[in-house]
Order: sequence, then structure tokens, then C-alpha cells
Amino acid sequence: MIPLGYILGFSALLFGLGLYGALTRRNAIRMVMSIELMLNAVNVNFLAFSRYLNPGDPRGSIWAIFVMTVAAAEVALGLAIILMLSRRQDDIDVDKVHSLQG
Amino acid sequence: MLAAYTDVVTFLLVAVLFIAASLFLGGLLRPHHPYPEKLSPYECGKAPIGSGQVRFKVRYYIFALVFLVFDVEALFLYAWAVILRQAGWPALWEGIAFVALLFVGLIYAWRKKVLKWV
Amino acid sequence: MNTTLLAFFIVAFISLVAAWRVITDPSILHAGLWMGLSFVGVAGIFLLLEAEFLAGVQVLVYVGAITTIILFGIMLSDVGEVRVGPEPPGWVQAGAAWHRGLRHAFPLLVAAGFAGTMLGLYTQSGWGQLRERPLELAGLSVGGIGRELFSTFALPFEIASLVLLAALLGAIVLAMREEER
Repeated sequence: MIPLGYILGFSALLFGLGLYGALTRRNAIRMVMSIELMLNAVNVNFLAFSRYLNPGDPRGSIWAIFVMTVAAAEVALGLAIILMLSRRQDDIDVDKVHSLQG
Repeated sequence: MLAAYTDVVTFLLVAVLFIAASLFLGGLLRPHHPYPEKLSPYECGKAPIGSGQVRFKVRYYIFALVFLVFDVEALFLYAWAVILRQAGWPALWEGIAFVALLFVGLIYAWRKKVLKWV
Repeated sequence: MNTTLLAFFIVAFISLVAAWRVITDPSILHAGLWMGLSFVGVAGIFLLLEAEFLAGVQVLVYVGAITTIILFGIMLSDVGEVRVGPEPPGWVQAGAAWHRGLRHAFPLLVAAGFAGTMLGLYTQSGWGQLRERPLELAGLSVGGIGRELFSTFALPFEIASLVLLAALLGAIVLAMREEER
């Protein structure tokens, strides 16, 4: 059996990688990918705690499923915005985006 | 329970090993004589003009988008279908409300003619 | 070391390496594919925790749908990451390297600090010694999740549908407006 600490360590490292990517990358699509990695790490934590502290309780899984649903919605909208930006200024460097008006 | 996945892992390992071995053996056996004409991209005997990348229409994104939304819907409907018989009427109405809400989105996409392949 | 632990280490290692490549791979298309591999690794972790349904959902939603739509986004926005321009003079390059170092130092500090703090907390808390208890009944099966989802979580479930509807409508409006231009 895997000790809980190992799984939490894995999710902390995954979250750290995602955080680093989201803070340093200027390409908007890569930022979205990094955010997805962070959300994955959160899901691992939800499931690990529910599995070890209260086995047989499906609530950890259910919250993970809701996180996935929100992540899907976020990616759909985020990419639509990024696509619009890329069509208008042929660049998706987030530092160069100043205008938020349609 | 996890023991049931031994077959899957074995299958995975065999697949990876098989592909690695074939690529390695192929690289060992095939002749290697590159020259400029052979390496140039072939386009009906003419030298290619311009970049190979074309800009796709934004419309294709909407197909992926609709797929994403209904993929997530499918996962909820799977759990719904499994428990529907024992959970009874309330669960039925909840599921119908869920599908009806997303059906509004489908109708909207349809009315906007985004589902047409052009 | 038992097999489960060994499998955990392999899967976690693959997932973390893939996540690292997502950030560092020079080609953004490859970064998207590495992201898919990282999601598969997380699905493997779910499987090792005996949450079969969640592992399936992870593959279905993250690997199947989110990776696909991000690859679509990359190809549609056709924005390469590396721009080849004229070679700048040496002192500009040195300045750029210094600037880049500064840009990366703070985020690195934040991310490493966060991961380090969490790891420290976890070792302090004594959760690390906590062992897995055998799964009672079939709590994490589709049936168990479904029963809870359609009784206690009925309202969040309907709101999830609203969120998806809003995302669908919003993205269609944005993309169609762009198409008409």
C-alpha cells in the first residue's frame, strides 16, 4: 500500500511545476496548460484524502468530478479568448495584451 | 482489485517493447544514403512554394468545443444511467433538467448554424 | 517494496517528467502532447487509489477532451513560440539573459517555496504514516458516486450543467464574432 505522504508529495510537486509554468510562461496557451496541471494536482489531493481518511465515501471523487467540469468550461472559454487575441494581433504574449474591450 | 490490471500492464509493456525493437532493428538494417534531391519535399515534381502551414477557420474550434461540453455531459449521464433504476423519480427529473439545460446550448449552436460543415 | 508502491513510483515519475516537459518543451504542440501524458499518469494514480470510475473520467475528460481542444487551439492560433529574428549584439543578449534570470527567479522561489512548505507540512502532520484502510463496500464505484451525486449533490449537479451551458454559449459567441470579421 502507498503511504499517504507519497501521494501528497507527488501532488505538491505537480502543483509546484504548474505554478512555476503559469508564472513564467508568456504564451497564453502554455499558461492554460500549466493551470490544468495545477487542477490535476488538486484532484489528486481530493481523492487521496477521501480515500485515506474516510474510505468508501464517494464525496472526494464527486468533488474531483466537479473540478473537472469547471476545468472543461474554463478551457473552452479561455481558448476562445486566446483564439480571438491571436486573430487580432497575431501574437498571444500575455504581456502585450492591453486591451480588454471587444 | 488492482491485480485485474496485470493484463493491461503486460499488454502495455509488450506494445512498447515491440515498437522499440522494430524501430531499432529497422534503423539497423535499412540503407542510409541521403542526398539533396531525395531530402527535398516532394510536391508533384515542382519546388514547393510558401509555408506548409495554413490558417484554419475558427469554426473548427466550435466543433471541438461542442465535443468537449457533451463529453462532460456523457460522464454525468453514465453515472445517472447506472443508478436510475434504484434512485427512482427524483433522479429522473434531475437528469432531465440537466439534459434540457444543455439542449438549450445545442439549439443555440444549431440556430447559429455553427454545426454546418463548410 | 511491493508492486503497488513500485507502480506508484513509476507512474508518478512519468507524470512529473511529462509535466516538466509541458513547461520547457520548445515546441508548444509537443508541450500539449506531454500534457496528455501527464494526465494519463494522474489517471494511473487514481487507479492505484482504487478509484476506477474517476480514472476513467480522467481519461475521458482530460486526455480525451481537454488535450484535444488545447491541440485544436494551438493549431488554430498558429502561434509558434520561437521567433527567429536578426541576432542582437552581445551586450543586449547578456542583458536579456540577466532580465530573463530575474523574471524566472521570483516565480521559481514562489513555486519551490510552495511545494517545499506543503511537503514540510505533510511530514509534520503525521499524515505520511497513515496507511490505506481497506475499501468499505463499493463506495467509489459508479453506483456509489451516482447515488451521492443525485441526492446530496443534486443542486451542484444542476449548476454544473449551467456552467457548461454558459461556457458553450460564451465560446460560440466569441468564436462566431471572430468568424464574421
